[in-house]
Amino acid sequence: MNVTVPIDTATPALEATMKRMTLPELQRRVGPACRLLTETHLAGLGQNKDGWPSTGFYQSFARNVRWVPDPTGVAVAILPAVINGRAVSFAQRRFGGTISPVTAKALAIPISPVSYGKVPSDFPGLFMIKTPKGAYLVQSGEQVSEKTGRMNRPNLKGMGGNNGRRIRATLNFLFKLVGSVTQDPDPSVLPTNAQYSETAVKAILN
Amino acid sequence: MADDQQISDLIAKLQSEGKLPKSLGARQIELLTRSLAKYSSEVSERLQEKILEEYKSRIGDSMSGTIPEPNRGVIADLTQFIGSPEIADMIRASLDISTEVASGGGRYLNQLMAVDAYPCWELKRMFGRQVPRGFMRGPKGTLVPVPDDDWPSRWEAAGGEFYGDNRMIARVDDEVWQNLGDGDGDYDDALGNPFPPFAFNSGFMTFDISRKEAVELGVIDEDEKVEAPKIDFANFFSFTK
Repeated sequence: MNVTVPIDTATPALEATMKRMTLPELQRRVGPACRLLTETHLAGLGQNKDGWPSTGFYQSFARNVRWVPDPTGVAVAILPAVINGRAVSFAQRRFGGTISPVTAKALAIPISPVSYGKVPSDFPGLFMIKTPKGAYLVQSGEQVSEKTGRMNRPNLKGMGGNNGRRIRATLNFLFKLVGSVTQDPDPSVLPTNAQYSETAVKAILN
Repeated sequence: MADDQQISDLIAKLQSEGKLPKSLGARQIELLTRSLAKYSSEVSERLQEKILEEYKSRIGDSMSGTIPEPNRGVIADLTQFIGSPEIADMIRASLDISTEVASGGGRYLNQLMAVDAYPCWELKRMFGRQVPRGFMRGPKGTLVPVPDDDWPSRWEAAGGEFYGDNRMIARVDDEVWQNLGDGDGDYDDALGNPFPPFAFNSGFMTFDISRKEAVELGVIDEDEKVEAPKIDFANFFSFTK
C-alpha cells in the first residue's frame, strides 16, 4: 500500500526554500524522512492486544517501507511482508475488510498463546472438535511429553508453550475454525497526515 | 532397504508366479538374493537422494524469497515426516534471516537514492529486543553484560568514529558499513552485508542523517561530496565480498 505525501503546503517561509530546489531535490529530502517516520512508527507497535508473545508482525513491515517519487511529491510504500511463510499485505490492517479462506475450507484462528503466530501444520496430531460454539482444532494433553513439551507419539512433534497447563489439560484448544473474519480499519497503524506534513516541512528546511 | 528375508520371500513369490524359474539352485538363489539386495540398496539410496534433492530444491526456492508460500509446506513436511522440529526450527530461523537480509538490501538501495540529501547514516536501535546485544540472560531473568559484544564495541572494532553524544555516524560510502557486515573484531554472527541487519537478530538499523546535521556534527565538510557506493549486483548478498 502507498501513502502519498504531497509537497504543496508551502508557507511563505517554506516557499523561498522550495523555489531554490527542483522537484527531484525536494523529493530526495522528503522521501527518506517520511520513510523513516513510517519505519519508527511501525517499530513502536510491538505488543498485541492480548499481551501474547509478539510475532514481530509490524517489525516485518517496518523493514519493508520504501519511498518513491510521485508526480506531486513522494509516496511511501509498505511492501507485503513474509510472515510465517505467507506474503501478507499491510493494507488489510490499515483499511480492514473480510478475509476468506483461499486454499482451505476454513480459517484457523489462534485462540491460545501457544498457537499465536503459528499455523495448524506446526502442530501435527491436531484433531477437530465441533461444539455448539463452533469447530476447534485441539491437541490432547496426554500427548505432550512432560520432559520436552513435545508430542509423545512417534513421528509427531508438538511445540513449546505452557507445558504444565497443557499436560494437565485433557484437551488444549489451539485454533477456532471460521468461515471468514472481518477486521475493522485501524488508522493508528500509520503516522497521521499531520505527522507526515510536519516531517516533510522539517526535511525541506533541513 | 529390504532385508534378506523380504528378498527371499520376493524371489519365492516370483518363482510361484512363474516369473523366475523354479529350478534355481541354492547357490543361484544366494547370488540372486545378493544382487537384489545390492540393487535394492541402490534404489533406496537413489530414492533418498531424490527426496533430499526435492527438499533442497524446495528450500532453495523458499529461501530465494520469491516464492514464500512453499515455506510452510516444507517446514510442515520436515516436522511431520523427518520428525525433527529442531531441524524445522533451524530452517525457519534461516528463512527469517534470509527474508530480513533481502528486505535490508531493498532498503539499502532505497537509501542510496538520496545520498546528496542524506550523505551519512547513523547506526541506532530501531527494534526492541528482550536480550539486547551486549547482554546475556542471567539467573531469574536478569541481564548480564557481555563485554565487547555490544554495538558501540563492534562499531569501534569496525573502524567507526563517534560524534556528538557518542553517536555512531559515518558517511554512506565509509568502509565501516562493510566492516560491520564482515564482523570485524572477530564477531562470528555477522551476516556479510554492508546494510542492516549486520548480525543475526539485530534490532539496529541505519538512520538517514541530513547534510545539514552531518556538517553540524563534523562528519563531513560543507562542500564535501559523497557518492553512493557502486553496487556489485552479482554478489549483492554475500559472505565473501
